[in-house]
Amino acid sequence: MSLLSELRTRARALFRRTTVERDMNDELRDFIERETAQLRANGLSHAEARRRALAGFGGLDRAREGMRDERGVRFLEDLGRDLRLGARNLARRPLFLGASAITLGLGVAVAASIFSVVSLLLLRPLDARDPGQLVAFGHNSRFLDGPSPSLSYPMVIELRKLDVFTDVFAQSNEEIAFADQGRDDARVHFGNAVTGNYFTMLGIAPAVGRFFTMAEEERRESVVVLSYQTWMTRYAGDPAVVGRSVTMNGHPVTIIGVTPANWHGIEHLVDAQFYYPIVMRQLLTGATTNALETQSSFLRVLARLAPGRTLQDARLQLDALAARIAPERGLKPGEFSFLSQYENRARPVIVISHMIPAIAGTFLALAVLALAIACVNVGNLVLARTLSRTSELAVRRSLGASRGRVLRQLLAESFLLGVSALLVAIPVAYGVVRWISSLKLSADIPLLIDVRLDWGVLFFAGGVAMLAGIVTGLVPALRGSSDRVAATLREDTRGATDSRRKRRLGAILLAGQLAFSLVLVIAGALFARSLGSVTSMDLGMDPDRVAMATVDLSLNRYQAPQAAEYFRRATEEISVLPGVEVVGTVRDMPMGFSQSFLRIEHIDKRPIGEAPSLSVQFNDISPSLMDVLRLRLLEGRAFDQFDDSTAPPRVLVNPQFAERLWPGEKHVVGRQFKFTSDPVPFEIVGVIAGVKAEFPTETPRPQVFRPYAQAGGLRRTILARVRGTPEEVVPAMGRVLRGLDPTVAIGDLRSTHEFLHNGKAFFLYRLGSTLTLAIGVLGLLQTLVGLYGVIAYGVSQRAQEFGIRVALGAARGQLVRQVMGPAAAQITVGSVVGIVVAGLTLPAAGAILAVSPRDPLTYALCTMGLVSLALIALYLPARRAAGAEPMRALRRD
Amino acid sequence: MQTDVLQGTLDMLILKALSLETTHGWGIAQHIRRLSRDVLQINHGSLYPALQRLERKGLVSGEWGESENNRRAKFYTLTAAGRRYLGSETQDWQRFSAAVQMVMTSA
Repeated sequence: MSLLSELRTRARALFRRTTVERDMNDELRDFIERETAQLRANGLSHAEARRRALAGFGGLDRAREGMRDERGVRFLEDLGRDLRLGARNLARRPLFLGASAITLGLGVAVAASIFSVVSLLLLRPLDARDPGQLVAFGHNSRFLDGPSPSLSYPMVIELRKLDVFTDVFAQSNEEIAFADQGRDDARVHFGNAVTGNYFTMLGIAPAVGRFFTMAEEERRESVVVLSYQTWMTRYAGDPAVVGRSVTMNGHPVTIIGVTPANWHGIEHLVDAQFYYPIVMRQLLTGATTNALETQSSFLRVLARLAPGRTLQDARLQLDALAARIAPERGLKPGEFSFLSQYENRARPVIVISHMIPAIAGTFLALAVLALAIACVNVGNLVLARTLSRTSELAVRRSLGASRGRVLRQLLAESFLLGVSALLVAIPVAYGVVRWISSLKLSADIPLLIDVRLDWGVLFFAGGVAMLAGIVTGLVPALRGSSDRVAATLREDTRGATDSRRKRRLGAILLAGQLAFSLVLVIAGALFARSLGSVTSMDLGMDPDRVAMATVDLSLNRYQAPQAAEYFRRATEEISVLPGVEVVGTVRDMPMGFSQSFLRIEHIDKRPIGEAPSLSVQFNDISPSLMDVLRLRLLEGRAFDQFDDSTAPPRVLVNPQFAERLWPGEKHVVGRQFKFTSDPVPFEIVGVIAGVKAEFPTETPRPQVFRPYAQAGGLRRTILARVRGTPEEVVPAMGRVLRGLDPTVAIGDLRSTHEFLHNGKAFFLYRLGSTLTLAIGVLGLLQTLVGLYGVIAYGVSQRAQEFGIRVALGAARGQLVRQVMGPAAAQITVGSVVGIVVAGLTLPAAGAILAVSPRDPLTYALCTMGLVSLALIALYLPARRAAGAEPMRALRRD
Repeated sequence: MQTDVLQGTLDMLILKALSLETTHGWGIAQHIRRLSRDVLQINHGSLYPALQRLERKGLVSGEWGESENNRRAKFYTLTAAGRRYLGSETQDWQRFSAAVQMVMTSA
């Protein structure tokens, strides 16, 4: 009863405020009328009666306030009033509001976007059951140049015997000519050949249809599971695809299901387009030997730890296993070892995952930096604002506003500021993340950058920034609201300048902010210059004005003689296309996804015995490739048409190969060596400058080039040097290749320039430099807006002072100098600090930069650029100060 | 002689006045003055906040009606809860004032 009436009154007080106020006034008026009437009846005049009636209240307003207090909604009402007043206050100073909201919003957006990207690589678990229990593998052996991220199938069998894992699955990334039945438009698609326990072990459920199982693997049925993306783009999400037949490498296969939308396979930057049982692999590739029975390492392996077991337990068992199986592979114990790591720390692949913390750390540091700038910036603006409001606050205190009330007022404004900043931050962060996610790699491999905006981080960053604003605003506010009202009023009278101590805090904040953003800009510029130097780096070839296409005839189960005939005719027909100068072919396209290696057995007929591993990279080239890619002959001769299958085996090598096999010898032409795989030795006929095979920044490795006519091979990249632009020749090349056989799957049909610049080769650098530059520019923008805001605000506060000075005859140039002088000093200090901080911290990212992290030119240009922009940001308000109209300024209050 | 109403007793006096009849704020003030033979002078400024408080607690209920000169006036009535509350307050007050009486008249 009582509670009900209580609620009713309060609700009424809140929502029917006008009615309640009118009732209150009616009631008071009624009382006064009655009292007046009674007093008049006692013989007083009307005026005197009314005066006394009113006096009985001891001030009507006090009664009103008392009644309002008793409504029990005082707190909420005040809050509403604080917010309304705060909004009005902020709206009245659009410069302050705009500068703070933009600078804070940008900082928060940058921090949240960076964090979202890092989270993709480091933090976000796979969308699988108990992802924290998944372990990734690799191995190292004396036969390898470096650790491998793969295992062979016999090794997987061994892993399955260990009791530390409940289950182990393997997958291999495969290129497949995928087509709907009855169509000839086969394209190379990327799929995962996976062991039958793949889906059950990951614990994911199909979007439609079903998944295959271990039993299916044993029955060797030809089935495929589509990725959600493929289902959507190729079949428009039609559930009827289940049961439909497609051809994979010309072989009929039945679609049985579709993966869920959030499943993208276990490779973090590649989106597998379909999944099929690994036992189908031999059927699809037409290989004569079953790769599952060989020692070749081509499988990516994940295992699930048994409940209660740790990675340490697993490593103990893996070490024991490695020691046991090493002798079976002709190795001594210690010459073979397993690599193992939790899945989320083995990204993107286990062998380079040790670099990821450095890269991610760099970016996280940038995120913190951006947020720090935002905080300093807003702190600075809020400080300037609060200082200028000290007298306003003091007046409010003296008019009876309680100290708590004044503080609440300031908190409400900080809160509103934070909300405005979030309104800026959310669209910016959302846009940045969308943009990063939409980055596409110009290659047949479906690149997947599945960045999702981390809302938690966004709001956390917003909260931190808001807190910074509140804290900075609170210090002076506490002083302003302290009981030294009179002193404050005296100190802060009209036109007087702030005390020196208050100004020093602002100066430090300004310099600090400038230093922060200089570090950011330098980091961005270093990345950008890295990209520049990487793209202009000597790759050992001239890729400009070259068109390319990759054809893998093994997908169509060609035999070697048919394939040789296909490539011969293709080369011939492409050579006569208009605009084509010369055509050549290569086995592994440089900077592509595949490289080939062979082990050396004999040098000059002498077995290498126990010498360190001699695994070298080899490639097969047609004689004309020298002209197409303009490879440089250093010694001896290049291949010609006589280096065919009837001639003795001959090779070209690079200087690194010569140095590795015959250290110190100048001339190696005529020397011989033998691979383990071939019965006869090879003779060196020439030395050419090698070609960068994988990444532009790789250190040159020993390379051997064999003539195609002696090697064969079913997969080649055809390259054509053209007179005009390669893009004009590319479609014609495609027509020729399909004309020879409509069922072939053509990959990477594009210009070589496109393949390199938008493909894998430069992608990491492009991504890195775009990201850092974007961050740097946002940071710079933040700083300039902040700088302009603070100075402009300061000038507007001192408008009267400047007006008086102009009236007293001060030269305008002198005023400009006076405004800019102290700020210029802060800019100098900030720049110096920024350079020092950058010089100390950026070398930590040295590993991922292609230029020196202390490159003087970059530092100088960035500093000069930042300082000039800062001076412009300063000059604009300074000029306004100097242009102060004396009369207007004086009349202002 | 007039005396200000003791802090905390105003609520009790208002309830007492309303236990006699339903009336408006001015009427309550008149009742208190008359019943105390002009000794107790309540501050009109605190009368209305007190009424508001009592209404919120459900001890009195207010009803808008018309005054003699056809203007809006609010009339207050003691609720059942208010009557119970007044009863216990009266007992407490009697015990308290008797105790004070005893202390003040001893020795």
